Amino acid sequence: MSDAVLWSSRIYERLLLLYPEDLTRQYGAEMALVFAEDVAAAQRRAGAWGVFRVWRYALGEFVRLAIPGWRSSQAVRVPAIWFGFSLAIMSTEMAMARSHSPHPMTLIDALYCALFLPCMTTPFFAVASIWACRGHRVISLGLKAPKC
Amino acid sequence: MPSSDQPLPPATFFILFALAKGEKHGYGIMQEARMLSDNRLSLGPATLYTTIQRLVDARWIEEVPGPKDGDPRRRYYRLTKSGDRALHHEMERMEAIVRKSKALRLRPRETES
Repeated sequence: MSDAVLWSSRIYERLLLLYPEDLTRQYGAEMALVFAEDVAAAQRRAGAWGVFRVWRYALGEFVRLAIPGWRSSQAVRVPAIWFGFSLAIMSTEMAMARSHSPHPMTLIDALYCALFLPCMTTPFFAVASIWACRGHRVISLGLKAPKC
Repeated sequence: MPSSDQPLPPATFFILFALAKGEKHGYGIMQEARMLSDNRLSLGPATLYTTIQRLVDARWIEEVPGPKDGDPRRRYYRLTKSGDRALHHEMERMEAIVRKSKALRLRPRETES
């Protein structure tokens, strides 16, 4: 097995951890095997360009399948909504402070202040949401549970 | 899974098509689907297994035991009767489109070489 195939397999196995659990629990080992075989065949056929093409498609799949899975998860949605909401409030506040204050702050200071609260508080919401979702699938594609 | 009245998504169609000639494992399905689509369909592992899971749930394909000396990580799949019906229904739908286009004297545009 060449270095490119070996490293590609290792990285893809790490990437699988970010895929929906209902897919990887059932098919994770097989997906890793199929990917390694595909990379090896692509390398034999087209060298580095072949490996690049397999990766390009794998990353495209990741964006199409894994990221929407995160979006549907409450553990991701709640902190994201909080981040957006607090950023909107703080941005409005800073915009008003810049326009009405006799000593307006610089744009950089205003951006810093607007981002401070969301960045400091979102991790608490993230931890609380993950805690609330414990025991449930954090990321799901809505596939049926495997038959035991 | 779409109803059999609607066109099948390309990944679903080519997985069923790849299994029409007999049982295969995941990588075998991937290769066969590529070959059958003249390399126009790229099935990555995530698309392949998401579709396989949906087809298993819909009972259009089923898992079968593989060879005893094979890699234990590999699982083999074959078409069920309802999967075979869905594949043929889709092929009939495609044939009907080709017949209609021929009746209208429509031809595919020649690709530039």
